[in-house]
Amino acid sequence: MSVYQASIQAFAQVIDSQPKLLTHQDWVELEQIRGNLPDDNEKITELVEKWLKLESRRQLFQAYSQQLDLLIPNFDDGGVKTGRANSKSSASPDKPSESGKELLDNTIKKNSPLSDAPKSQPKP
Amino acid sequence: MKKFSLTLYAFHLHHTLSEVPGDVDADANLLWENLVKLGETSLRFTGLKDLRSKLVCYDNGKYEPKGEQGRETEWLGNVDNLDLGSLPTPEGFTIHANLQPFLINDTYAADFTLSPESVDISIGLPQLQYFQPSELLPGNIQPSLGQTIWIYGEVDPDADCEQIAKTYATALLAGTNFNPVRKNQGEFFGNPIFEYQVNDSNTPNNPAQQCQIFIELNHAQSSTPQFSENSYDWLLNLLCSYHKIRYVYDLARQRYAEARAIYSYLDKKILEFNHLVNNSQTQLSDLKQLLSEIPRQSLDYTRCLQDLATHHTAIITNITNYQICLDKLTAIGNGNSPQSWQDFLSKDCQKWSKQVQTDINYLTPGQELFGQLVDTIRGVIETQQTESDRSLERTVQVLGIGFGGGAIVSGVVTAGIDKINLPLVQKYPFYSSLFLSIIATLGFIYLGWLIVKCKER
Repeated sequence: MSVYQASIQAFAQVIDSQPKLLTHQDWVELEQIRGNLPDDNEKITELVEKWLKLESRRQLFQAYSQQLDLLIPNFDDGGVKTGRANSKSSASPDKPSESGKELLDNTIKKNSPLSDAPKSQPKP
Repeated sequence: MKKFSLTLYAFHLHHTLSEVPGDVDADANLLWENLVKLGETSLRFTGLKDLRSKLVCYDNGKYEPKGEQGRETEWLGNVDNLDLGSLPTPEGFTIHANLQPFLINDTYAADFTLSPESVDISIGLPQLQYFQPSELLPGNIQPSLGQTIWIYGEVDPDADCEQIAKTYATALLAGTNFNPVRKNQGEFFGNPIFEYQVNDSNTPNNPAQQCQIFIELNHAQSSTPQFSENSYDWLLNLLCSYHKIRYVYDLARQRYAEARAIYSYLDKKILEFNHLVNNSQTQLSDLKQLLSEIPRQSLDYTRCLQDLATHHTAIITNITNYQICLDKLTAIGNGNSPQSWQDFLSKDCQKWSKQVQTDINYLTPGQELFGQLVDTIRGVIETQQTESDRSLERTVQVLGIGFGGGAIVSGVVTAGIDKINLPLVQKYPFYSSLFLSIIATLGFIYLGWLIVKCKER
């Protein structure tokens, strides 16, 4: 299960198991979001997390985070450890990163030594 | 601090524009060799010591960059995940190490991350020393383009993040002569982030000897953006572009200073030339000496200008890449990214690119002046040389007429000396012939001089 699938599943489990954490207004907003859900799991996750970031949904967000920790223990404990905050490049031995497709190739030139001929002083 | 990670991002030149495609810089493998050295001396992770066997640019422990050629990916590892192993600590928990190696265009990039085996282990200041952060400073890593050390951790929502960052930044440099200088603070993916700078007092202006430190404190337990694979790559490339811009700008300033010195030399040479031209005692050799010195300096000056133009292109290109990365990260962060990153783009980068262009504009007229000075000196030398040659030609002509005429007269006089009926001549015929020949030669020289002079008129 990918991180994004886990995030979506965690959110679904929280609203199923703890519906009291959601107000009537929250349900209305969720209905609206459901009608315009993007196809990509990553975008859905971003949308959900953005929606959860409101201060009034702090409890809901905490419940979601705890559920997410349960679903993706590998990212949090005992599993594969990678970079900063356990983040990892999308590049692999047989796949370039997405960023490489958009960034410009470039090459630096170092300063090579100039001629060391003494600079003569002007004659008086 | 929980879910702690300490990451070193190091950037090192793989090749330069001067190298033939396929060749690498003389010190290209220094980054990997220094990481291996760390594994052998202080951070004794088995995988770090054996790093050479995990990279495609090594073959049987020998650096063979040909292994990188033809690959479409930036990833330099033989496998997807370079787990370097774990080290025990006196407190019982273990520290895990991971490496993410890349070749991004002309740059080797390494992400060397240390984290406790379990995310539940809280890393305070005493535990931080088990990670030996001072071993990750530029003195040991020696990345030619620069490096960033990034601490990430989760803190309580009501924690004093600024104070925590300050104490961790100081603890990071414990046992060294360095002090962290606070540069900026902001928010990254909703987390407070604090930027520090560490400068080597011996080389304060060398960006490769400086270390940028970020301390990111997650006080809201937000998680998802951290897992975004794309955010990882954009961040890595943003840091890479940042260090390259600083490095290239430093190169450009060095070249500008060198070009200024040559420009000053040129000014002095023009004065010297004027002095020589106005001085009637000037020898042709003085001008030739001047002419022999200038072309080499002129070539140096042209190289400086060419390098400045190349550096300007590199700065502009990396600014474009930095902008793309920052836009992507800002989008992932729901419209937020550290203000200092925006400021770097809108202020520092803009100023630096314009500064290099201004330097080029200042120096370009000097290049033409160098050419004109050489042409002028060459013209004066040619004129003087022609005059000198003509003078020699005149002398040869006069002497030719003189000696030629003198020889004819001498022949005639010698043959008919006995016919000159003068007692003195009859008494000394040899000396008389010689005397008359000399008189005739001098007469013909004078005649020759008159003829040449008439011709010149």
